[in-house]
Amino acid sequence: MRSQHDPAVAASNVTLNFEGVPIQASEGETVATALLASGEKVTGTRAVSGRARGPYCLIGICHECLVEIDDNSNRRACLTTVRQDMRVRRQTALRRLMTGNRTNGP
Amino acid sequence: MNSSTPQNPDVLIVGGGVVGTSIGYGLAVDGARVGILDGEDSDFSASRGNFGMISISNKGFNNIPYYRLSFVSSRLWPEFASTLRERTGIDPAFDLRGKIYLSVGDAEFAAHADKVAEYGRRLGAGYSHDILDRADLQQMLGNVGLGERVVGGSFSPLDGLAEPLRLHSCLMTAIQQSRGWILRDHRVSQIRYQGGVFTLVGPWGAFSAPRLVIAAGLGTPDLASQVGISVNVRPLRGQMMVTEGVEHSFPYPISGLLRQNPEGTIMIGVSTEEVGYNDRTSVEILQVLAMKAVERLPALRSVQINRCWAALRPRTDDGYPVYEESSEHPGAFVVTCHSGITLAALHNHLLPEWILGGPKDPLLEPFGLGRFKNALPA
Repeated sequence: MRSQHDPAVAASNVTLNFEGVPIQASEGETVATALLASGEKVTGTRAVSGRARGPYCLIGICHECLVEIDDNSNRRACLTTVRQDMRVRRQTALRRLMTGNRTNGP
Repeated sequence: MNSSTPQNPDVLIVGGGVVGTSIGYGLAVDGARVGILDGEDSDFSASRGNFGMISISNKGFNNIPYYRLSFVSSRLWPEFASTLRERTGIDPAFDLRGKIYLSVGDAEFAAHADKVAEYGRRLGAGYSHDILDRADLQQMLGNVGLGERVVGGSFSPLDGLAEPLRLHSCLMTAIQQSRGWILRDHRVSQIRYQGGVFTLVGPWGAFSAPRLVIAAGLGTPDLASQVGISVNVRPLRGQMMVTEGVEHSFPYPISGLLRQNPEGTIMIGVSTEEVGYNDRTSVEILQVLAMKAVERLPALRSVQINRCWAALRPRTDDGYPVYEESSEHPGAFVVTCHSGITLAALHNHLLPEWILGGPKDPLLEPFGLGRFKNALPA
């Protein structure tokens, strides 16, 4: 929850969608802080063990904050700036290598 | 007695990389009290450059005993991995399903096929490596598409993998479970010997033991000379990259170039360069590695590289391992090799007995330092 002293409160002018739910964010902040501020600590699960994951280092190194943004996997929430109507989902599986239904090639 | 303070052990090991810990684990499980002194994060740790490959099919072209050494280690690996997993609860993600080689272009394929055939002639029965055409390879690799210039390759069932970080975790945990200890930031500056006891000294203090193993990679020559062993190693730089995690895409490691970890990250590497004591990465080499990867599996083009790094690996004068006991100071041993992962199971199984005073296994005999005295000058 945002502190009443947080200057960002004045500019909560971006709405993004997390798992189908609208979340308020401030222009210029990252997806990670927007999620944490709205009370979401679990932003994904490990594909292999099923363990919960959430933003940790907040500087793009630990890769614990991986989310799907507008259908793109492996996006680091802590390095992605919020954008109006951005669709964010928890990442629960490994990124697909091949796109579409093609079985050969990129 | 405070059980959390490391005590003087039965065997002191200098070097906590994959070689030192494989040996330490074997000794600890045999009931010896083991103490490992490891260096600092800034040291040139050869194990940092390991790729997790158990490589047999490309060993021993000019040295049949080395093939034998490697092959025996691969046969010991399954039990080594399973008992490590049972003891520690950590899965080293060992797999011995084989390796695929992919050749790009006709000339490379022809040269590769010739080499594989010659391997077969030199090593005979027990060497298994089959040339495959593009269609066979595509079938083995499943959905991931082959680059259009991949004309053929081969498959050897002899090879395998283990996950580098997990293997090291396993070994360190297993040693500590058997009341061994491992101390980081304990670089050894001096070795003294008196009355059958080796004392290792550093700014941190000293530890003593009747038996000593020096498995300190590039730090080995200096320490070995203090116990009367003259061994030479040169640094060989290896650069590599690790990618973002993606779905499991190729079921075999490829060409010594590509492997995929359990978490989905893909490792691409490793170069071999003689650049002295320089463990930096270079864009030129990383580009070459990346090109080789996408020539073989074009789907990798879209994959992000998360990290790249380099490590210096110790190369002996002829590139083959050294297993030597000091004649001046019996009880002091030097172990150095390039393929610490491949040989981990063998080191764990064969070296403890020798280190504790037993016979030196015949497999190790060709790798004493005597071979350098007999060699012709370069």
